[in-house]
Amino acid sequence: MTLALKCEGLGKRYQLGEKSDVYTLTDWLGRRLLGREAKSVEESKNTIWALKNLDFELEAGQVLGIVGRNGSGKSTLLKILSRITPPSTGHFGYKGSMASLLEVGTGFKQELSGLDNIYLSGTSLGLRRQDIREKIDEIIAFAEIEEFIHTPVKRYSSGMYVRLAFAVAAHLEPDILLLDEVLAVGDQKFQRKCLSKMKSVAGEGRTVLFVSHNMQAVTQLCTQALLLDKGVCVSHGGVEEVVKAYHDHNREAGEAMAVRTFEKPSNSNGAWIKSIQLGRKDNPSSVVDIMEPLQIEVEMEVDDDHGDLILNLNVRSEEGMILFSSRDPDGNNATEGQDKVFIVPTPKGRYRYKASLPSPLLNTGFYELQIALIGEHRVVLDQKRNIFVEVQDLKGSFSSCIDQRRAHGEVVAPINWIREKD
Amino acid sequence: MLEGFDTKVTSREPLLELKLGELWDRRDMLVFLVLRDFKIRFKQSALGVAWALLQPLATTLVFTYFIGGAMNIQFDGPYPLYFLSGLMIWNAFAKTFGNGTLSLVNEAELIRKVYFPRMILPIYQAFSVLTDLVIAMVIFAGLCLWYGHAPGIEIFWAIPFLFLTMLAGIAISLWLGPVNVRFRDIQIVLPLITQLLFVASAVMFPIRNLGSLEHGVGFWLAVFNPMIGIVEGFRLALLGEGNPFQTANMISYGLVVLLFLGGVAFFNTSQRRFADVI
Repeated sequence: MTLALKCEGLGKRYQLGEKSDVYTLTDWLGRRLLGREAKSVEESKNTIWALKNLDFELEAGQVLGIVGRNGSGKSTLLKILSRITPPSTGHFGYKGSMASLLEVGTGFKQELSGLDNIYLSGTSLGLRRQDIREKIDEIIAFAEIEEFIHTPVKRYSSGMYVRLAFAVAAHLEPDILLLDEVLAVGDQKFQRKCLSKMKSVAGEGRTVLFVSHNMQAVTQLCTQALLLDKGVCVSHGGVEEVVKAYHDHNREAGEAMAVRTFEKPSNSNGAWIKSIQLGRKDNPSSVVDIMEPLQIEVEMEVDDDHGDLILNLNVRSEEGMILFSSRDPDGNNATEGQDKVFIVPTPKGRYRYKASLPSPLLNTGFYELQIALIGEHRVVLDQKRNIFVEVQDLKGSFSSCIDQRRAHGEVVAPINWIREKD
Repeated sequence: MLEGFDTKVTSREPLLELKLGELWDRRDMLVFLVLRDFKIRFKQSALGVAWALLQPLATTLVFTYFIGGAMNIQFDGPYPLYFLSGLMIWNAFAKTFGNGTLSLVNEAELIRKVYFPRMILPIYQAFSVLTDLVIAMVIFAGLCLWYGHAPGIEIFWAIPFLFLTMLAGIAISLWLGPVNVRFRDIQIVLPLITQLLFVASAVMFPIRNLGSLEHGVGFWLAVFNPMIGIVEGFRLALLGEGNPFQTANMISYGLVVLLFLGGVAFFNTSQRRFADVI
């Protein structure tokens, strides 16, 4: 077997501030004038290693799945390998041609027709005009947009747009292909089509690196896998072994995330959230089985008497949509105010809220909880975001179709189907 | 370390990388970027390409009647021919370095999401500009018919001077583009620089009005502003008169080549970090 790709000591350091902000010349001069001492202190504080000391090699024809939680360095690795950004340490080398697909619709222009965009995006991704001309019919057929090929893509539905974008990318034929989560687009039917296209690409002896959250897809497509956590490689080897490590790791991380305590905010409004705990008291966890109720416990400190104080919970999907919200007086006995709004007078002291989300309700996946204390006149007194829970279907209660990562939709409903023959 | 691999990438910043082979490999991308800009420019406009004709024609008329009359132009032929011959090459230069400088920031999405030789961006602008030049040439041909002027054999000088214009425009954007990626100050002062250069390039009036190019201010202006020579060169090509080969001009053409080579090196050393900074 020949090596297709080799990395040694690969690392990427980001300087916070510099990474996101475009600053002007005067800022820069100002920093310079602050002197070196200030600069070195700043460096140690504001430096983040997105990827650290990564070594691995990949033989030609292998399909490597790169998995890890959000922010573990997966995308950074792909950006380095695709030469979009340079490594801060280490080096890597590869054989043959490489193409990367980090987003759907790279180089598309809204004003131009589908046909123009195929050429534009194709040449941006590294195809030659000749290659595109040979495959143009195939690309159009794959995208299923024959009759709209001369229409500007701004008039396309989002489904058509995504199909066209993927179709161009699917016809790149590099020796090494880097893919970032492109399967998470389009409708289920098109996702299946993409998956089978990817399988055939992998089957042609190409080397593929595939970043995904979708363990089902990783298991099906990849010949080996690599698990990253906080920029460090935690596990590398066979797919089953790494997927298991991923789940174990998630559970551990979930436990670590399950109990969160907070300091009193400096600009406290007299009431603040002291801690949030997920899961059972004896077994706190932010990972919950789809059939188990998710238990939430919130501790609140009230320093001043409040005429009205309620707790609000928002549950958001990974895409940021609020799925539902729930607040403390709902279903409780509270004083009904003059304007028919529930008022909850709260004298000072320490309070503990306990709630349990019904199950089955949330589909498998990650969800964000947002918890807020709301005082009189709907003033937000304190709020905590980015509390993540993961719902897993550990017992396979809802995965009737092996090809699917999850049942359709953000919520599940346990429905018993009865089939009778007339 | 990495023997046997075709492509090697290390954390160390390379001093000089030309990567001309890679640039040539990706020439199709350049072609489609030029086509893209041309197509987008007149999308959803009723008059379409007619606008491209109107713009230089209108400028020429305005300058002829309001400025040309007020200035003492020592030129035998009609002023519109004189002005347009300078304006078209000036526009090619100004748009090349202006759009070229902005092209990196304008294509930030592309730079963040896909690898390609970044130098394609400033270079393709020089070719984009050629479409305007061709259109201006059509107007110029029309004016020639109107005034009964016929360019002579000197017209072939247009080719080397056009090449020099593109080289100068690209050279400036190779320097200013990467700086603008980090400091957006550049794009703020760009219009001002362009206006000052326009005045200092003797587009509206003969270089004689700037003084002699043999010595003094005129000499140094012509050394550091190659457009003085280039505009004169284009007039030589289209109108058959002018001397773009004075000592100061020749020095400035040499400086353009140096500026370009230095620009390539500067661009290549900064391009690796574009995606992080942009």
